[in-house]
Amino acid sequence: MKSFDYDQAMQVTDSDLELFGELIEIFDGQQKQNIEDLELAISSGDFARFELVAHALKGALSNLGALASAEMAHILEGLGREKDLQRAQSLVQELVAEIGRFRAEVEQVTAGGQ
Amino acid sequence: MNILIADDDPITRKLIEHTLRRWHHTVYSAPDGSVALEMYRQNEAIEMIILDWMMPNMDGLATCTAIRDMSRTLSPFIIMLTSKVGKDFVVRALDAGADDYVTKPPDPGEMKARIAAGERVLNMQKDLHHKINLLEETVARIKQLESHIPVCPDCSTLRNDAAYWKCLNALIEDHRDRHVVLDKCPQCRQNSPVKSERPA
Repeated sequence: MKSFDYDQAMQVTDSDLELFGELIEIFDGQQKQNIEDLELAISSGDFARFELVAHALKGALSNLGALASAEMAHILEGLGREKDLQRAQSLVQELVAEIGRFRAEVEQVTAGGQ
Repeated sequence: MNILIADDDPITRKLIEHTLRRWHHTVYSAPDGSVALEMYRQNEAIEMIILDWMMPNMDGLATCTAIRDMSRTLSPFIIMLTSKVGKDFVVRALDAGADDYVTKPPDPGEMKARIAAGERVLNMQKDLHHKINLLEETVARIKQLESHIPVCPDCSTLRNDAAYWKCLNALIEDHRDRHVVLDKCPQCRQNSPVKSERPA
């Protein structure tokens, strides 16, 4: 699965690159907080909060065309729903790494002027 | 159109806000259902509401139900926005009072078409409401006219619904709740012209 699906991002934003740039800025501003919220929910055993944060993150990533990250957030959401947070900690770290790949691809694509 | 959107994800909110403003709608946005409900309560101009399903504090289903429980002359058009797919979720959304259902990520073309469909429904609702008002006004005027009893100012006889003229004293006792208007009976008309059409 692609880290960054440019076509999906352009479909959602109606090919508005300026809007896409604004969405990426919002994402960058909240990403650290999202990950902290997930980790806090794991440490406190708050399944409902974990599911909710993972769900919102899935939606945000999906809007940005971050397909692989969105799929991981989807799996995290399911773990929260099934109250299985044992696997969640390592998967959150994998998600952080995948988001890093997504951001790198976005930079590459937008710098390349696609 | 005045549209309220509620979504806890700021990216989705920004995306929908931007899209709707580009289509010349006025947009109000809320980060969860409870804020959205309060905004709707305080703003009578909101006609359409786009609700995310999963939100903190109050989710989309509960918000939808609470909005439907509020008494407003014109009911808003509610679109449920969610990544949940499947017939069961559609049924639950519609049962809670949603009018339509859009899956995430929202496709701009689909969103535009569904908002236009909602606008048509709202326009029909406004038109129907206007016609009901007209009908109620007309019925009230007919009732008022029906309550008028023609009275001859010269001999004081009254005309009843069967067009018979009877003694005022005999009929007025039966119509204490009705307005009395003056109108000459045929006999008095021959004797002298109408002096006044208003009650003495």
